[in-house]
Formats: sequence, C-alpha cells, structure tokens
Amino acid sequence: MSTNNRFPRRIKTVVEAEGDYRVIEIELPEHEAPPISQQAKLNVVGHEFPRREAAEKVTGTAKYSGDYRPAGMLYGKLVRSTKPSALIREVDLSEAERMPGVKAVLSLNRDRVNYVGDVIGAVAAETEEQAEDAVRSVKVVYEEERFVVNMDRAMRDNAPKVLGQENLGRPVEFSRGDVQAGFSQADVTVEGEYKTQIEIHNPIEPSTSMVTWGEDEILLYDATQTIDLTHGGVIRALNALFPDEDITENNVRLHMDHVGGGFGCKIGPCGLETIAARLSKTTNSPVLIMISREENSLDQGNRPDSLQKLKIGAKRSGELTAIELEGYSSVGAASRGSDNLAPAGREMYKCPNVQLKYQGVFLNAGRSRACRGPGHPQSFFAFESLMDDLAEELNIDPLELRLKNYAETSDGDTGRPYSSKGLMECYEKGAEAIGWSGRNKKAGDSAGEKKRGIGMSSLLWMGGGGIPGSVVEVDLFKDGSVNIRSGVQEIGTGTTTVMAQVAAEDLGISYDDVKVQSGDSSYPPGTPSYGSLATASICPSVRNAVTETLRKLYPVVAQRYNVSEDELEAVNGVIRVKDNPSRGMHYKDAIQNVSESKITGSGRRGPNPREYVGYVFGAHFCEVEVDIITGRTKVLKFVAAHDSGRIVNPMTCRNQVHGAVVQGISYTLMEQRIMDNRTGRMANPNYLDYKILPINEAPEIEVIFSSNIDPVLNSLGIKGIGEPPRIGVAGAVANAIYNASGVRVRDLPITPEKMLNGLKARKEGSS
Amino acid sequence: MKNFALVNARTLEDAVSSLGTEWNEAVVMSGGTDLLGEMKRYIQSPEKVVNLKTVNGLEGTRSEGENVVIGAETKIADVASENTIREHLTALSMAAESVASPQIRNMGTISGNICQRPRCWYFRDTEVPCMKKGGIRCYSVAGVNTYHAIYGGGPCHIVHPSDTAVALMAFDTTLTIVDKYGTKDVPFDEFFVLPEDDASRENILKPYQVISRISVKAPDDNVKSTFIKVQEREAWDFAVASVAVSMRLEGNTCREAKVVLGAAAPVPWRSEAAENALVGKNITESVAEAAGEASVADSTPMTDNKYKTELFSNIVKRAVLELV
Repeated sequence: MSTNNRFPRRIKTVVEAEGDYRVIEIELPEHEAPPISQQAKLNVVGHEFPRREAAEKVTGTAKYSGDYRPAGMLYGKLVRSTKPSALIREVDLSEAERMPGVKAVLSLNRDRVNYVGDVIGAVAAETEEQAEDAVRSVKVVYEEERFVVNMDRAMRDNAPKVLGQENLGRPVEFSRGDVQAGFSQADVTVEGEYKTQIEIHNPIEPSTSMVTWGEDEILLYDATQTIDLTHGGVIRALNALFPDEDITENNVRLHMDHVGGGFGCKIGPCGLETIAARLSKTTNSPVLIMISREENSLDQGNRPDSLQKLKIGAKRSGELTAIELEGYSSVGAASRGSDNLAPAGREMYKCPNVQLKYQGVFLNAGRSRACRGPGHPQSFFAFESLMDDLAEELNIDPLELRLKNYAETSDGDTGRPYSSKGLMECYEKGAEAIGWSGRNKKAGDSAGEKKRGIGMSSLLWMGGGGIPGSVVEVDLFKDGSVNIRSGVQEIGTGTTTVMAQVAAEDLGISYDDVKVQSGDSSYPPGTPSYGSLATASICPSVRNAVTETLRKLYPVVAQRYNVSEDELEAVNGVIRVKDNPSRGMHYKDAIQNVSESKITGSGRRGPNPREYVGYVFGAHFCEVEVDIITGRTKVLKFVAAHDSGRIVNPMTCRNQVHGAVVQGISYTLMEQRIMDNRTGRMANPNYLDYKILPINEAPEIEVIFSSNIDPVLNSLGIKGIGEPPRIGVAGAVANAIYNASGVRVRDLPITPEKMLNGLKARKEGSS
Repeated sequence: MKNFALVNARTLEDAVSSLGTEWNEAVVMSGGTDLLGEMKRYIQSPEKVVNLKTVNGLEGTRSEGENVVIGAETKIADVASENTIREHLTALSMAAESVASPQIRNMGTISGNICQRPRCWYFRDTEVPCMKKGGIRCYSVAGVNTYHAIYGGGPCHIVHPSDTAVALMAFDTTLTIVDKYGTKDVPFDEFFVLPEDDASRENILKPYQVISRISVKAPDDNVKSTFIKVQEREAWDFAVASVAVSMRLEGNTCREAKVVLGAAAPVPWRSEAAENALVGKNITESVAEAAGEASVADSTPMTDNKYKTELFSNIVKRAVLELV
C-alpha cells in the first residue's frame, strides 16, 4: 500500500447553493479520480437507463415513509389555527381526550397564532378518522386580532403588523456601475410592473413522518430532501424538548426508501418529526403523521409572489446600458428574506450599470420556502417579458437582441469567468427546433379565432457545480457484485441511478452489478437534494470512492507485475501499469487474491475551483395557441435547450426537464394561491380550485442538451438540471402569447379572464 | 367525517320511507362523488345516508312514446355514450361528456349531477358561516368572486355547477319526483330555485323526496343542439362558463331557439333575449353575434367576473354558428 501522507488534509472551501455562499471545512480527498475527458468513450455514463425504482413505483410496490404501518401504530393529526391572527386564551383538550380511540392529545402551549394552519397541538388515535374527530373536538378560545393576507394590503401604511414590526423586510441590494448614467446613455427605455402569484409546492407525496420512540433507538421514516439536515435538526429539537433524556446522535435514526418529490418543501425538518416523536413517546407506540392536501396548501411552504418594477435602457443598436429593479415578495408569517428577484437583471446579459433592490413582505399566511429555482422563474418572467418589449421597441428580433447582449463572463461581463457556458448552442439549436423564423413578425398578426405564436426566454441558474464533502462507501464482493452506499435520499430525480452508472463505469462492470444503498442516516454523509446539485455533488464522490477502494488491491497487482504501487493506475476497473497498460488485471481477478470476503473503501468529494463561476444555462422556446373566443391558451410545443454540463443519463435528465416544463406551464397558466381578505383564509386549498395542469394539456416537449462538458467544476463535468428547466417557462410562454395575440399580460397566471380582458382592451384600442 | 348510518334502499318506497323531514336527518346518495367530499369536509353531516344505487330499475335510458326517459341513477358516462341521446339530444350528450373526469363520470349519475351542491369556495369552507349554510352574509360580494354569478345573484351569488342541467334546460324536460305521498312530474324550469326564494338550497327538492327519472321530449330532426363549456383546464374542471343552444331550423332560418347559460347564475339560466335575437332570423355571423351580446346585455357582473360577459357573448355566438 502506498505510504503517502495518511493524515487527512482539511481545508476551508466555499459552498454555493442557489446563489447563497457558505464557508465549510472539509477533508480533502486523498486521491481524486482523474477527469473524464470530452472525448472519452464511455460504456455506462452518458447512456440511458430507466430509474432504478421505476418498476416498483409504477406497480405500486414502492414503499414511501407513510407506507410503513407497524402493528400498534397510531395516527397523528395536528390541531391547527382556523384564524389568521389571534391570541390563544385557552386550549381545552378534555373532550378530545375522552374520544374513542384517542391515545394522546397534546398542546404546544402557543400563546398566539399567525396564520390559518398554524399548529396549536396534536392528537394520536387508533384510526385516522378518530384522530380527525378528536382534532375537531379540541376547543380553542381565540382572541382575534387584525390581520393581512395579501401583499398589496400588507404594504399599506396602516396595515396590521404581522410580526410586530414593519411588514417590509430588510432590502437586499445589488448594484454595479452608475445606473443613472446608464439610463442617460440610453436611446430607448422600457419599463413595466410585473406580478407573479404564490405557487404551492405540490409533491406527489405529502410531508410525512412516522416515528417509533423505542428503548434503544428513535426511528424516523421521514419524507425529506436532506437526510443530514433533517436528522441534525430533529436531534436538536428533541434535546431541547427532553433535556433529561439521553438522546445521542447515534440513537436517532432517519430512514426512507422513497421520497415522492419535494421541490423545496422537504428541505430540513418539516415540523412533523418532533410532534410525532412526542406522541410516540407518550403513547409508547409508533405514530404516523401524514398531512392532507389542505394542510399542504396552508403550511408546507410556497413560492412567494412578487411585484417587480423593472426598467431597462438600451442603445438603438440593442446594447443594454442600464437595468433597474424594485421588487417585493411576500414571505408569509415568518422572518425570512425575499426570494432572490435579481438573477436575470444581474447576470443574464452584458450590462455595465445595474441597480437591483428587493425585499420581503410579511403576511398572516403560510410561509414561503425555496421552491424549484427560488426567485428565478419570477425574475425571468418579468425580465424576459420586458426584453421582448424592448426588442419590439427597437424593431430587433428578440433572439437577436439577446445575442447582442451575450455575456462572456459572470456579473454581466464584469466578473469572474464562467467555468463553461454552452448557451450559444442552446439558442441556435432551440431556435431551429421551434422554427423561430416562422414566428409572427407582428404580434397578434395571425388570422382566425385560434391564434398561434412563438416566444422564447433565456435562463440561468446559480448552480455552483456541486457541494463538497459528501462521502460514498464501496463494497467489492468476490463474485463481482458491488454495493455503493451513501446517506443520500432518492427523491425521484434519479440520483441513485446515476450513482450506479458512475460506479459501473469506473469499475468496468455492468450497471446491473451495482446495488445502491441510500436513504439512511447511518450511512456516510451524503448530499442534500436541492440546488440542482445532487448529481454534481455525489457522482464525483462515487468516483473517488471507487478510486480509493481499487487502490486497496494495488498491492496484489504490484506484486504480480513486480512494480511499485506508485507505478499503477486504475482505468475502468483494470488496475494496470501506467507505462505498460497491457500489464494489468481487472479488479475482479485481483480480488480473488485477498483473504477478506470483500474489499471496502470510501471516498469523498473535493472542493470546487474558486476562480470560476459554475452556472447552468439554457434557452426555452415554445409555440402556443390562444383561443380568442374563450381566452384559453394551449402550449403546443415546447423546446427546452439546456447547458447542464455532462449528462450522466439522458433519459432521467429529459424526464427532469419534462416535469419542470409541465410544472412551469401549470404555473404560468393556472396555479395560484387565493387568499380572502375578509376571512384571512385560503379560498382554494384543494386540487379543484387550485388548478394544476392536467397531463392531457402537456405539450410536445423537445429536450436539447448542449455538447458542453464542464472542464473544471468536477471530474465528470456535470453542472445540474433539477431547477433550470422551470426558469424560462413563464417568460417563454408569456412572450409566445403576446406573439400570438398581441396581448401582453404582466400578471401571472395568464388565465382566460386576463386574456379576455386584454383582448377586449386591444379590440377597443384598435377600433 | 361524522359517523352515519347507511341504508341501502331496495325500492323507491324503501328509500323515501328512510328519509326524514330535515336535511341533517338523512340525505340521498346517488353516485356519491360530491356527497362524500361534502361529508369529509363537514359541509353536511347527516345522521343517515340513503343509498339509491341499490334500488332496482333506476338506471338506464329508454324511449317512451316521443320521450327519452333517463333513469335517475343512470351514469353520466352512459348518458354521454347513449346513441339516442347523442342523436336527438346532442347538447346533453356533449354536456355529459364534459363532466369532470372519466372516473367521476363512471361513478356520478344524472340526477346527482343535477342536484350537486355549488362549488362556491365560501360555501365549501366549513369555517365560513355563509348564507347558504345559515349565516347572514354572502362572502363573495366583498371577496374573490371570479367564478360567481352575473345573473340572478343576491343575496347569495353562487353559480349552479351542473353541466347536464344546462343542456337539459335547452330541451323540453320533465323530472319525476317521488315521496311517501306519491309521485309528481315537474317541468325542469320549475325545479331550480333562486337564492332570493331560498338561499340555502338550489332546487325544490325536500329532504324527504328523491328524483326517479328524467324525461326529455325528443325533438324532431329539424332541431339541432350543441353545448360549449369553457373550463380553465381541459380535464376535471367545472365550467367557468357554458352554453347549451337548441334551434329548430328551416334551412338557415331559426324557428325556435333555446339558449341556456351555465355558470352564469345560481340556476341554469335561460336567456330569452338571446333566443329573441335568433327566432325568425336567417342565421348569419352578425345574428349570432347579436345573440351573444343579447345574452349578457342585462347581466350584473361583480367585481372580479366582468370577463364572463365577454366570454358568454363569445361562446353563445360560437355555439349558434356551430348549428348552421
């Protein structure tokens, strides 16, 4: 064995996720797998494999956290506020305690509630129905206070103060250059006020926690996107609640087999875990809490709305001279910052003078949380809509205008270089695929009652290239089979599928020979599933783990060929002499020479290069049809062209894009949380009134991946895909609607109501 | 959901004798697709549910003289696919086809569809003590009324949710109502009630009554009909606006017309103004447009639903032109 430096080296490095930066200290990998070049001929990576769990899921045998129902399990239900703002004078549990089947009723001792759905207490009963009846029997005496549930009203001077302070949160500001000078240099200035709505996260699996407080272990089956974060958060919460119990990290175990999506609402503890744990401790039984769709609508997070006053200045040539934004987004009853409304203005195009400001607004309503591409769909809807207005004003083709302002480096051509940028290829291929040249030259300029039009949007995502530090373990068995293991969670994105592909590639074996163990806090620390970072975070760890594990067989090969271990390398599972590759043996042969039953090793992901900005790019194009009789819009075709670096699995990657595009169209055309000002209640906390696009309205979706493989971010050249395909959808659809109908809607969602009002105004304006 | 007793009625007599005189005593279940949701949401919590699906002879369509008789328990899917209905009552077939989703159409029945409760989100929220639930206020007036009434509203402003009722109103339709005192036939346009008469209910049915059948006079071959439904999404949605039009045509000239607006009012809403704009006229684009405009001329939209006037005007025109 190599006797190189055996002491782990630790360094401080920067983690970038969703535009936020955090310094962490990590252990450096001992041996980094060499980068896989653009030209490398690969057998598994880059090939299509269905998701590992696909058959289980479509046949209904996959077990989600709520599917574990051990004997004696109780059903937990939460007692929630029915008032938007109130002091709690009394919580009377006595009737609920006497209800049939009820085993425990607890009050959280809240002295006030800040929104409808705010949690006050919980019950556990033998059946779900009994638990529900008991919840209704808890008597809460409220002293109601004034409240405000919509952003426009919350910003008024006399508005009730949601958190006892001003309803406007601390502004976030960004500027470069001199924006006033920029506008004075402009030949043309365009501006608009844009509104986007609140979108509820609607993962197919609602938030769920099943907790067994056992003698030796507290076991949680939990629907989370972040095993580590949730595990740590639950331990802290339980220790705070039960300081006298000896709750150590190794006796709290979090497990899940499958998570049915998250989109951001399952980052960190969902709040159900500690309540289920308390109920379990009290009753000495496992307790399952799975929230209803209504509860999901009220209290599991949402993409905040926005009001964006946006202004762009440009030269007659199309060159941007100034960008200014004043933005607001409501964050609910939580001291949380606004979604980032800056990315399009700050980063997308070359522009020296930029001034952007945005802030959160507090409401008596469920809090906002990260939602698939936080801030970005809102920012790009507004910005890309206004870019099209500018193009029309300048009489320049909208795509041409974007090309004229193509930024080669970050911060609109003023910052560090990008690690790679394959956007030009996305523009070219996307425009070709949608038939860009065939779009209406004049908006609304098509005959008939069903008008067609084509639009586009650029997009970028502050991916960051992956999170350092995740660890993977590898077991090589003598029969050639392989286990890889990490505390990552499969939330339906295909993480475990691509992990197996990468391991198979580097081991020179077939994909089917690799088994992936995931979804457990007792495994080595994995990576969170957020920020479109999971693949770029964990796959390099898999490679390094394979590298480290194969190195354990170097002594066998060194002895066989009578060379030193330093003279060896491992390529596709073959351990061979660097200078004479014909001298080598596959690890499957080498492993027969060791006496252990298996060889186990582990590897970790190293840091990202600091001198580059690792962003993800793309361009969205679509064709729509607007029925001017009904005001309905149908998206006919959608082309999503993405630069996400290396695509490990084109099939699962396309799948991600399809999902995001459908979700994005749904957001653009119909989804919205509607809050009633008089009652402070959500009018539509159900799937009938909160409209989600049905699958029969999903358009033909063509997915294009750029040929770019990122040369520096990680050894595979991966950038990320989860969130980017949401980002350009609203802008592209809104621009296509304008191109089809001549109606510019600056207020999402673009419903028949708004289209009919716009069409009427246009008719009256032109006659 | 509150516990309740389930009565699987074997006969109509059985069913009506199980019913009480108050709504909270017993309710009738037909397909149950709406009732179940209401009970889960505690909008209704009856002591007893009387199941009509177990009554023999209430399902199926047959011809009786000049009438097409549809049993009360006939599935919406069967109403949509039945040949006689397709041929002679086209608008009804189209309306049935447009209901919700295949699953709901296979569960839901024609009488249940006609008698379903409104979808008003204030009515559907147990915590909101609206007029329809015995309160003193209609919350839609100062609230979000995008989907509410532009006709016949006040003091409550719901719209009637049924698609098939809109189509049935465009024909000569009679309902048969059974109670322990006997059987009576009620003309379809006398079945529904406006909130000004009874804000708590949408029709004249009493807690002790059930519908046994729906009888529609089959029009002759010169009568054509159609149905247009605008929904915000293409599946599993209620109408934002719908219209059923039937016209007796001689060549291109309209001799008789019925124009019924759905999701416009607390009841399926006959527009006599639109009908008058059609009768006696040679149907041209401008006549159709005039009928569309007439259909909303005296409407009284609320704060958020002015767009509905544009929408009805457009779809009435489109429906009329589809028939010539």
